[in-house]
Amino acid sequence: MDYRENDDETAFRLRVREWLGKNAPKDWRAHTKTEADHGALLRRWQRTLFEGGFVGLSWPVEYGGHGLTATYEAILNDELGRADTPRISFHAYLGRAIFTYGTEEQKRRFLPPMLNGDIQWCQGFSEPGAGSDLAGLRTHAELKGDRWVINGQKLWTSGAQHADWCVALVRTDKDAAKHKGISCLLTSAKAPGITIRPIKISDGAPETCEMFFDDVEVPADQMIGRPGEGWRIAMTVLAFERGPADVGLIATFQTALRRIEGIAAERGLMNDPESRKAIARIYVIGEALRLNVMEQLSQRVAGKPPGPDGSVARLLLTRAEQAIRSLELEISGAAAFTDADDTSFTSYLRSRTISIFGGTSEIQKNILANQVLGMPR
Amino acid sequence: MDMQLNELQQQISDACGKILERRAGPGRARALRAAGDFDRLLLTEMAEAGFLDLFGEPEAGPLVAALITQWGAQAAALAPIGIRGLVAPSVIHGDLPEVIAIAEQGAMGAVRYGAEADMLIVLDGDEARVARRGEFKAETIKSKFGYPIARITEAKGEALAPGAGAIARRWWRVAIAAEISGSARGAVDLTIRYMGDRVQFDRPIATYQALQHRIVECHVSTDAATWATREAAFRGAPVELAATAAIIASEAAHRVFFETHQLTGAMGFTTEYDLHLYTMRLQTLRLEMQGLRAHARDLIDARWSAAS
Ligand SMILES: Cc1cc2nc3c(=O)[nH]c(=O)nc-3n(C[C@H](O)[C@H](O)[C@H](O)COP(=O)(O)OP(=O)(O)OC[C@H]3O[C@@H](n4cnc5c(N)ncnc54)[C@H](O)[C@@H]3O)c2cc1C
Repeated sequence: MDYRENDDETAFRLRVREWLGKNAPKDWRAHTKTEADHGALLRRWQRTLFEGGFVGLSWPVEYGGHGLTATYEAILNDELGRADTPRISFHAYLGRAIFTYGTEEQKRRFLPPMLNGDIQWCQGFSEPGAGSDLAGLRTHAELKGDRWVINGQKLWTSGAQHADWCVALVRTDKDAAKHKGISCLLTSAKAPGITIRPIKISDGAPETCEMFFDDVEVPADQMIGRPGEGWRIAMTVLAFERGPADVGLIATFQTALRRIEGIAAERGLMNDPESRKAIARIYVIGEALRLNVMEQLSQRVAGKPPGPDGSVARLLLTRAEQAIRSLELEISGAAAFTDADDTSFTSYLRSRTISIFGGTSEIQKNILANQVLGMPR
Repeated sequence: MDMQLNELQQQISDACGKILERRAGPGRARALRAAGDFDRLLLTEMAEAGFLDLFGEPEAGPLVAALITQWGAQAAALAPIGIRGLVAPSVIHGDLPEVIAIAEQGAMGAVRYGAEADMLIVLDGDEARVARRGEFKAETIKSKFGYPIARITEAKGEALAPGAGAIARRWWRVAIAAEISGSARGAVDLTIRYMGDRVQFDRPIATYQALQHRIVECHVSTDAATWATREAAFRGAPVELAATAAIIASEAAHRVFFETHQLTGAMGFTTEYDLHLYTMRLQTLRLEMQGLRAHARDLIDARWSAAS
């Protein structure tokens, strides 16, 4: 065990920091009022990052990456978090489906434009009847000649309204057992037969969508993995989505904590024993998260894919984010109502969804109980 | 002791329930919010039926005024029933306009119904003044908090009797607790129904004991807030009981917001689903009057200051 960075890593950190000083978007929250603004900003920012040489650090060179270790990815994320930049992350988990299960041809076709931001993706997993019970999904695809024809409905497909492509889980074998009849198709999000309806959520943005598939044709070579392998692929994607071996979150957390300390000082609450205790508690929760993330990171560096214990990180992250946003709201007092664009309330509401998307906290606990602690189902 | 509704209270409950059924409800709250409006019609109808003027009625009194506030909130009524029925009459005698808002001097940046109010009560320490339309200025703030909210930029007005600020503050706490307990009940009831309907892994999620326990905890907290509110109102809102009710209610608001959203999954975050019509308000009410910290400080001062 060694908690220190080596010289190369430190040099890289300094280089990132300097680059971000010049290139990180400033005041971007104030300039992104709508979901469309946000989509456009992410596209631009990903392009800038890519051109700076900072996307896909740990991905192989032949697919547009840089072939570095996960440590570099972590350093980058840490600096991104500190600089409070917009977060681009979907390649980190959706890309895993293609990277781990795709054919050579699929990888060469889809990964480079995923990294450089030319193609934006959305995640078509959940459905009206399939939330926690993802394997209960009913959207189905039938092979007709050299095409799969998809019919059904996806729900909560975030960013679908701006996406170019979608990773969709579909049922291809109605007779097979629930988890075995699922496959993974890549489809253009603009294919004929797809209708997208944005859904407004209570933090104000129509950030998620409903996607209807009506005889949508997908060439057979756009299936990832074999028919029936969809569940395994989904679990890989979700493990990467959940396990936040992403140090950027820690930096973001620490920035938020400093912000709260500032508000508390301004409001004369730094001498209030109750507030001091509350802030100290948040600091400690943040430290627990930081250590877990470091531990997860070292597993990634050692080449181990995330497993069920990623749910520990996810639960710690959820706890930290929700506790700090709740404290921010309380410390802000009446200012919470009046700050520009409801910043603290919006952050609070967003933090509430962390225990839902990518698998609810209850599902994470079920995973830990069954798969890590070995308890009976 | 008798914790059941007596005959008169039952009659009021039935009649008030009919108005709320016809006039209030989440559908109407949603439409009003979308239009940036609030429910003046409902207030008018309740005023005409006499339901906003029960505070000083010997047979009904503040308890019934508090009950009406709870029922209104439970029906997602988008109108300042508690301020009008429970707080204003504690310090102003005589005729009251329908829409009344209340604010604390030094915290006028965000006032519920500030722009809609015909009258504003301003608390300044133990004193208070009352500003009528034209004597105060309010700017609407666009917010996600579930109520119309405004910034008061100026408030003149006429001083109320000495000590009115302290009195109104106690009743304001009771009104907050009443609104929280009603809104929380609305959210809990909705969630119980949702859990019965929502099937995952081939069974209603209501059948999972782990989830049952959580909604039961919400029920227990809401129940505690409900009864604490009623007792505080019944006994004339002494500082300790009013603060206790507000504390219990604020904690319930926190829990109920957190759990009902968790138990409803992604659906709970959509504006198409009703939950937010109750829960966003819980956040406002939990922060009003500087929230838990201020309620607790007053309780400690009232009960233990002599001991320290
Ligand atoms: C902001 C946001 C963005 C999202 N983006 C996407 C996206 O891009 N793509 C996508 O595919 N999906 C997305 N989702 C959907 C997300 O994956 C689902 O919401 C999640 O899986 C939970 O499903 P559900 O909402 O249907 O809740 P349900 O599964 O109905 O759960 C309701 C409640 O029951 C609990 N529960 C269910 N089963 C059990 C059990 N066995 N034991 C104990 N408790 C249980 C849950 O934990 C929860 O508290 C998003 C969700 C949100 C909130």
